[in-house]
Amino acid sequence: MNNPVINVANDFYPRPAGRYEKDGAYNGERFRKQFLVPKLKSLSKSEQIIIDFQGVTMAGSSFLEEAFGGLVREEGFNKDFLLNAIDVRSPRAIIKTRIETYINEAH
Amino acid sequence: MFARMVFITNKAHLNACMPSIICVSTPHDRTRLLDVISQMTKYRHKSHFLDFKNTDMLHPNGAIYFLHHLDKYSSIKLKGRSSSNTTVKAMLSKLNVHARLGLPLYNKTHPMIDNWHIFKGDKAEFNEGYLPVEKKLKECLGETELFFKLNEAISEAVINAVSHGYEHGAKYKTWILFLAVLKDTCHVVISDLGVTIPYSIPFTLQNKIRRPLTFWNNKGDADRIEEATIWRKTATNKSYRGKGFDNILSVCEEQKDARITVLSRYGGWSSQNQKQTYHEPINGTIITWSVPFASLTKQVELST
Repeated sequence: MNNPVINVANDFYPRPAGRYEKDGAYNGERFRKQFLVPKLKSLSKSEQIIIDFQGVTMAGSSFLEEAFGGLVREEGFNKDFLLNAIDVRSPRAIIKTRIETYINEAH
Repeated sequence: MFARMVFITNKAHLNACMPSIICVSTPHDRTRLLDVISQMTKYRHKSHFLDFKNTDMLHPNGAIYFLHHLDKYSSIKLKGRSSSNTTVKAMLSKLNVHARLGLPLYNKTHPMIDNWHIFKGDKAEFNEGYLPVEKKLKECLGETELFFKLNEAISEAVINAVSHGYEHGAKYKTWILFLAVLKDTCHVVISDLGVTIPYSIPFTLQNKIRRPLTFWNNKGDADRIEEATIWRKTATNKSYRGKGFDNILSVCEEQKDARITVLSRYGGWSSQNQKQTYHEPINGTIITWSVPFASLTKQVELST
C-alpha cells in the first residue's frame, strides 16, 4: 500500500511560519488548505497520510497550531480520525507531540 | 539640561548632535536619543543634519530604534557627518544610515560588524537572506533540538510583531530584527513601532482571563509588561495561550544565563526581575534576547 506523502520542506517550504496569509506566504492556513485538507478528503479507510518534516528547520507553534488544530476548528474533522489518519515523521519527536496536542486541544 | 541643548536651528534645517551612546535602556542616553528622534519627526518637512562625530557606541536597542524611525519616516531629508570611531562608522554604513545621510559607504572588517545580520519586513517570511544565520546557528549547535528551538523562537518573535505589534489596519507595520552570533552567545533584537505591550495587554487579558480593566489603573508600564510575561507562563498548556512570546520565554527559562529584556512605552522589564520606569516613552516595543551557547552546549552534554 502506497500511503500519500507530504514532504513539508520540499512540497511546501523548509521554514514555514505564521498562521495566516497576513503573516507570510508559507503559513499554517495555506498548508492546511492546499495540502492537508485535499489529501485527507481523498484518503481511503486503509490509508494514512505521511507528513514528513525531514529538512524543516523551523516549525513554530503558530504554524503547527493553525495547520493541524485548524483541521478540527475550521475544517470540522474528527479528532480521532485525524490522530489515526496522520503519520508524522520527523527527526524531532517534539513535532509529533505538538501536532497531537494541537489536534486534541482544538475546538 | 544638556540633553535638551542638542539642537541648533536655522530657517533651512535642524542640526542635531547625536548622543555619544545610542541607547534606549539607560535613562540619560535614552533622553538624548529620543530628543533627536522627536525633533526629527516633529519637523519632518525640514531637512536635518545629524552629527555622529562624537558617537562612540551603538547599543543594539538604540540602533534598532533609531533605524526604525529612519525607515518609518523615509521622506525626511537628511544629511550628516559620521562617527570618528571607525567601528561605529562602519556599523552606521552597514545599517544604511550612511546612505540615508548622503555619505559614502565605509567598510571595515570587525566581528562586531560582520556578525550582525539585519532583517526587515512586514510579514514573517524567512527567505534565502536568513540562511547565513541558520548556517551559523547550525555550526554552533549542530542539528540539535536546541538549534530548532532557537530558530523557532526567532520566527515566533517575528510573528508576534506581525500579529500583535500593530493596530489592525495600520499603514506602517514593519518589524526590524538584528541577529548576531558573537563568540558564544546568540543575540536577537526585534523592534516594532506599534501599539506597545502596556497599551495592549489590558485588552488582551480581558478577553483571555477576564481581568477587569480597573485592575490596570494603578499598574505602571513596567508592571504591565511583567503581568504580560506572568500570564504567558501561567497560561502554558491552556488552549487559548499565546504562541509567540512563549517560545522566547521558554528558551530563556530553560537555558542558564539566558536573558530577555523588554522595552515598551515607559516600561522596561528583564528576565532577571529588573523593572525600570522611564520619563520618556518609546513608541513601540523592543525585545532583546541573549542566549549563551556555553549553557546550551553544556545542557546538551548533560542530557546525552
